[in-house]
Amino acid sequence: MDKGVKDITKESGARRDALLFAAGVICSVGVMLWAGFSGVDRAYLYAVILICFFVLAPFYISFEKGEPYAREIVLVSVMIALAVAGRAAFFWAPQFKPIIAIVIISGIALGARNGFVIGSMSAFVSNFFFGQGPWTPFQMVAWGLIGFFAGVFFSEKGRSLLPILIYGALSCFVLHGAITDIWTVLSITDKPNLGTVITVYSAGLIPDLILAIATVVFLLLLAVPILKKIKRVQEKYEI
Amino acid sequence: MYLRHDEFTKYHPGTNFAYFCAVIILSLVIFHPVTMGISLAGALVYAILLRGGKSLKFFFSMPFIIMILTVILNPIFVHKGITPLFYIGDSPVTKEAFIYGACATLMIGSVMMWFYCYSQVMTSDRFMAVAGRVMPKSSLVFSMVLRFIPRLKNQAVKIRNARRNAGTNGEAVSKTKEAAGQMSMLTTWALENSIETSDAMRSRGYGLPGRTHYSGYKMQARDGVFIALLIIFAVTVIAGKITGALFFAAYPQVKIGLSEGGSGAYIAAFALMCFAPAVIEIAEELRWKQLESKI
Repeated sequence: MDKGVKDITKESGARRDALLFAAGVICSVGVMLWAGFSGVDRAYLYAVILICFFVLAPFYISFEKGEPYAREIVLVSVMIALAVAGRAAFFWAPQFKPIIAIVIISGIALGARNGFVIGSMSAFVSNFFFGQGPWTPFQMVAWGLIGFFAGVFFSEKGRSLLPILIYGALSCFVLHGAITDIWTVLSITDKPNLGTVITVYSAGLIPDLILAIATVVFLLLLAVPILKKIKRVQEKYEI
Repeated sequence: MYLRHDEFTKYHPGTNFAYFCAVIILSLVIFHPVTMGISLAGALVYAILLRGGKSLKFFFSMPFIIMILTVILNPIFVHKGITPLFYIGDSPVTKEAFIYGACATLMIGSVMMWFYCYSQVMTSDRFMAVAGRVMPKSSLVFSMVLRFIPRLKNQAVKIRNARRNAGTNGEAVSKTKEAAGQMSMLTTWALENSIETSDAMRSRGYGLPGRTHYSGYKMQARDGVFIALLIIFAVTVIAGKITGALFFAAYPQVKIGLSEGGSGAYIAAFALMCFAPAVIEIAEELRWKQLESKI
């Protein structure tokens, strides 16, 4: 029998995952300290690029090494496809897309690690349609973390919608907006600079706002029915 | 869509991937005005080779705007440097900040254009061929997603048509609600159908050890030659950075090159790297002409 999606993290993999994430955090902190104290030209830009990979690597290694349950893989794939198709289907309004809402719902329903994989892979795959760029790894981290924290903060049981809506709106600014544009901020000047930070981020404020509104609206309309549907499929097929 | 396949795209996807990684990383790390310029020129030439005028349209639509912003923003916000050009209020706008901004702009433009070329060459199937062996589970998810997307889009059209014929044509206000409703229906359909897929996978033994990976691409001799040359050039360029021949610093005073020997050889190695796809294309074109003339 296929065992549950969430059992995987509980079993033998839990120790390996803990080690992996500890290594990722230590490397990230180390790189940040290096950037702060070494005085190397443009160290911060290199640091954030490296940190991107230190964040992505543990999740993907953990996902690769986890038990290969066919139903888990298929569920993850379907949610990514829904997120990407949602981004493509709502072309009548730029930025007004359900993609972040779907990522958050996936994180809640399928757990934090799968939430990260769904979020980051949605960014990666949808950029095959919208164009890859230097922002791709940062967007992968941003959307991955949106799915991850959704899985950490919210469980399926005893959920009320309001905290999820607040999280959805905030994550569009704090995670999506801030992380996706960080490469621009750090490429323009040699050291982080308040002026460029304000200029670049204020340029992204309107699109982020539209995305936040879309996320809240779609969460309001979709969170309850889709969570119920995933739950139903999980119970029906003992996933 | 008519896709023009240049000669370099016909190399093994692994070779393409290694090439783009090397060029993008070196463009980021070797922060030197001449190599930055060469990198941008190489990326633009290759982009034009791949997509013609469309690539220029892309270049002027986004990278160019960000580049102009960079040139303007850096001197406005950074006041380091010893040569003030003029003053805005009390803060000096320095020559060094202008030069740094110009270099940064070349770096940003070149990296964006290399990513553009990467998008054209590394299509999803070619990416799969590289990732399939290293990350089997993730690339399986990736390929399944690619298959699900057109299926979901087809089903979305069916749902939309059915809803429209049933009389629920969304008014402007409830358009979003209707769209969300359709999204929810699509989810039901997708979840139910996907279980079938996973059952089929399980009954065919997915998850058993000893899975193999199919890739239609074969490494050829020319891939080996290319990668060997790539490594030689990359090591040369990195050596240039380490020895200081490719040194560049804008602050507090513009300083280019530390070593006595000059930087010509290192820059040449980097230029060969950046123009490699164009060189391959021209060489192939010449060979074709030569063969043609023999007939």
